[in-house]
Amino acid sequence: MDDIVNKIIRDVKMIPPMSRTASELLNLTLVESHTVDDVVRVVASDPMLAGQLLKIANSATYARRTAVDSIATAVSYLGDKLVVGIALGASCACIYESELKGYESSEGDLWLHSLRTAIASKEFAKFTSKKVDPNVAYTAGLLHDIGKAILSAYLAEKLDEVREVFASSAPSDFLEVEKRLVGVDHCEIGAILAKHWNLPETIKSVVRYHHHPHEAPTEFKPLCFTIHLADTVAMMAGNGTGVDTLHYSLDLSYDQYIEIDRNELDRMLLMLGLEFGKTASALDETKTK
Amino acid sequence: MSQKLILGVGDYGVVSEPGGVVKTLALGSCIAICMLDRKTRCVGMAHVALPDSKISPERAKENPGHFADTAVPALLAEMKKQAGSVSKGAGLIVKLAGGANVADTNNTFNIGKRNALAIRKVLWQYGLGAVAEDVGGNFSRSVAIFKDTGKVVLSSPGRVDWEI
Repeated sequence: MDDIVNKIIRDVKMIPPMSRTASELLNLTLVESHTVDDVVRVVASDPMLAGQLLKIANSATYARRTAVDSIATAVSYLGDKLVVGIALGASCACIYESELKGYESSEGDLWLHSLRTAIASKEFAKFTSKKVDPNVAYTAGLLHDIGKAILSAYLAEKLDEVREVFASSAPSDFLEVEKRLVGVDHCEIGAILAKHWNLPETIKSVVRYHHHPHEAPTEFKPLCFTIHLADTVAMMAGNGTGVDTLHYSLDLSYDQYIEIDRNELDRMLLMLGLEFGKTASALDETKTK
Repeated sequence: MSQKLILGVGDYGVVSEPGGVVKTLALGSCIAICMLDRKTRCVGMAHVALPDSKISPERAKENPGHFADTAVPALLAEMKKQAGSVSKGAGLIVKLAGGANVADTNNTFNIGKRNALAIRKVLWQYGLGAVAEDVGGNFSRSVAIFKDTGKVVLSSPGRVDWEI
């Protein structure tokens, strides 16, 4: 088992670094005091990304009356969170677009799950008792499951055993299944990839603890609980990543960090569905085929 | 070509032509209300996401299938429109699938359970009740109802398809 774990760790180190633009944008939006101008400056240095943003801002989904013809307008129209999302999606396509064979999940599912989690994260951030920055929550939501793309190949070799697990009884914590079959779970592997990509501690912590947020270091707990809830509602909304979908428990101490009642949650889920639908359709429409 | 409807969240639809099928994919906490009219042999489905339309009457108007309380009357009206009539009571077979649930002692995140309760209550108000339910649990489901056989078939990743 240790051999496999070491091999996986070696695999992680072979993953190409994040593009300079994606990494700069990500770090920039994690700083609360950043401005739209800062974002525009980074986008302008990457013609491919700039072109993609213009295309998306002008997509039929957004149906604007006047054409968006400058990077600044595109950035302010799409919002800096989505700009980071688009940059990450393009830069880490090998992660987000992979098929996740070990999870019996289709190409693009991880991206849609991450996008829905990101949007939900920024919404849950508004209900945190100890303030969580919605920008940070969004980015953390996008990155929380990066470990799955790597673990998937190893889990795929044990697919028969995964099916046996399900045939006997539905697991309540899929991380335990990953650990038993591969020796390591997607959170641990994700945290190694986060380190390889030099992601900040906040994000690394979310990647590592999003299924068991009470285990996170105290300072990161509010953010980890935020993404924990967002991940849960993304799966409940039908955007999971295959076989593991909903096979995790809700950490009931969430109410110490997030104060939301039933009606607020239902209203939020309704809005989330609309925003996600629109964003996903605009991105899909402008995808380079 | 036979009718094949694939419903998104909050959609509802009915098929009346031979070979027709209504499907919906990856239900988490959402519930598919499936209906089969014994007399007209029409089949329909609604993909319900939330229990109560009071949170957004505007949305309910635009997309009645989204909420339990507006989905049931909308689906019944569509069954009637497609077939000219809709049976009452035992003439209409109702089945429910989906509503995966997350245990939450605060009674907030258990949306699957809240959806199921709301749908049962509304069906009851219309003198209807589900003859079969595959609701709850912690897994996602895709559901299809076939016009020719009236069968409701479920699938889920990692499982063999089954029928209710």
